[in-house]
Amino acid sequence: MLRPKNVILIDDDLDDHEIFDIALKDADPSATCTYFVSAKEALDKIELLKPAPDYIFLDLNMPGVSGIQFLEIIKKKNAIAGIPVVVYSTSILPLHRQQITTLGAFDYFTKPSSHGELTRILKKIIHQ
Amino acid sequence: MKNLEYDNSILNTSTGNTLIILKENRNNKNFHRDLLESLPVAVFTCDKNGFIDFFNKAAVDLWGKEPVIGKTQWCGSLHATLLDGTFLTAENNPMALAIKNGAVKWNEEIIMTCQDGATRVVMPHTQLITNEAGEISGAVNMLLDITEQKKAKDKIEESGQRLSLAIETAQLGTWELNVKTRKVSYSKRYLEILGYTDTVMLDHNQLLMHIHPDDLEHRNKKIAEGYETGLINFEIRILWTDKSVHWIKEQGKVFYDDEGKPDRLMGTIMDITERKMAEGELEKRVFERTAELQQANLKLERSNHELEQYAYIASHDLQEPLRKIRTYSGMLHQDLVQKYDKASSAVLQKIITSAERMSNLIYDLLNFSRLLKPDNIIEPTDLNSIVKNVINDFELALEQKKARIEVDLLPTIQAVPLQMNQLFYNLINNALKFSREDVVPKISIKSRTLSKSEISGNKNLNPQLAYIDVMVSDNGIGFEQSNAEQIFEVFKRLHTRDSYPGSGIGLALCRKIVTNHEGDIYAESVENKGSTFHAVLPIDLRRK
Repeated sequence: MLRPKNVILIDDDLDDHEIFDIALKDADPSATCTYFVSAKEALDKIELLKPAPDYIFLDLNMPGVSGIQFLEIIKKKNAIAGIPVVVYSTSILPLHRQQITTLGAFDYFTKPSSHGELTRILKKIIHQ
Repeated sequence: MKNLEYDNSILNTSTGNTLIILKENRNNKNFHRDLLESLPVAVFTCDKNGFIDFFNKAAVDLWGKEPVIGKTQWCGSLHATLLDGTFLTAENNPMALAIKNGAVKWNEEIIMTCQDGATRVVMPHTQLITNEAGEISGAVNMLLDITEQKKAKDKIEESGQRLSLAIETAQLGTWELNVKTRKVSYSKRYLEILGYTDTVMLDHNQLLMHIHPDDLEHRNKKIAEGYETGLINFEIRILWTDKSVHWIKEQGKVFYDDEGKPDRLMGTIMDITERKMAEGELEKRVFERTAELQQANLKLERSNHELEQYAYIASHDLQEPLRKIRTYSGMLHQDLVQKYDKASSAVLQKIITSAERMSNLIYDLLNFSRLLKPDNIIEPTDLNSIVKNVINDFELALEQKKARIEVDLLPTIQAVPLQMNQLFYNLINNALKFSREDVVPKISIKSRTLSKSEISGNKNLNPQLAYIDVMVSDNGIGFEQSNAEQIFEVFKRLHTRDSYPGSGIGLALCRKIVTNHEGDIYAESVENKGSTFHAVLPIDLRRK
């Protein structure tokens, strides 16, 4: 039996926390998720998390520290730079796509419009 | 045949001195003759009635012929006038006047027309001849030929006049400077240019005081250069005594002494204030226009940026709530289906469908707005692979409708690949969408090269480019040919959304794409038979 997955979601939208939570439970009932409403809050606390998260799901458009900035910062923190970051945003401009890849994001996908689709995507990412 | 028989004759000279031909020499006729004959000036004599009784060789040379002794009167020339053109009659001949008046008063040049037609200017020197009794017995005339001197003098006068005319016309002030003594001289116009209305005496230092302090260094440098090159040419500002600023152009020449040192400077100055002002005005206007242009450019950039912002808002901020509507509706729908609440789930399905449509609309609008951005790169685009990829996207729909699609060999053209993809996606999508229910959809894609006359006959095409016509035909429901134009307008629909879903942007997008490529698009259709869409595209957009 594999150790239960532990992920975090950084998104300023509380509805998306809820949608993500439902989809994650459907994708992997054993998985747990820690939620942050801002990148700043996440940066302050990620290193304190035990065990360290398996994946970071990251929204791009957030007030304060943006998703892109978060990526830049986290990749310079040796202790947590290795955690795969999956960008999870409403729209990803071609310009951002390039930036995200250059900054070392693990994967990216646009927020789907159905619960089923999100479940499918999460299942795929977590179990690969 | 010269005659010289004077008895103790006295020659009165014009200066009043009297030359007495001594009796001892009187008999020595050869002496006189040889003396007069050898003179290089024309000398001849006449008796008191004017009949020529002696002449020398120079006189014959001047007249061009020999006079007849005792027959030719007063002069050997054909025609004589004064300088003002007055005809010189025989009575007014200098010799005739001298004999008549008993004294010589002549002091005028005469223009003589000689035997050969040439005119000569001569200065006559006439003296009376008196006999021993003191009576006038005739006159002697010497004609000094001054034609050449006269010509030279006229020439000098003429070029002098020309020069002053030129200087005056050009409104040039003239000046001269002795480098060693610093002595200057200048014309009245020179003073006028310096702002003086009266003639004043200024020395070199006083003149230098007029130079604008900021331009003095430039002037000194130019003068120093002038000493090397021999030429002076510069434009500087000067100050009038009323402190007003004026521009002058100074041009001149350096004259050197025997040791090669600058000796004199000579030149002109010209007031170029008006020209300089006009130049300044021009520069100012160019500057202003440039500033305006930059301003306009900035505005344009700003509005472009705003447009991008709108596109971003459309794609993000509008999609965001829609996505949630769709997600939550989906969750609720699943719930209702499980509870067998058919009525509620049917209503919710309508909400979901509407939200989906709105999502598509926003997505298409965004695509449309992206076409406005000029950063698309034109590259060789193989239409075969473009069409192949698009057909792959429709694999499922083609299978469901059992549609057949035939594609001829298509060319490779210079185009924006993504836009070609969008173009054929929309055309094939339409061909599939507007199929007839009871007929197996058949789609064909062909291409042909347009002739020169076809290109020049279509005002939407660039006559300098070569074009192909890619025809996408179907056997679908078609439309009335009268609607063939409006189907390309944004949000123009010929059918209800329920029967044929879509955003109403597809064909507008196609038109935008072909216009971007300097091409054209149009449709031919027969209702219930099918339609053909012609996408006319340039083979090489860059070759103009």
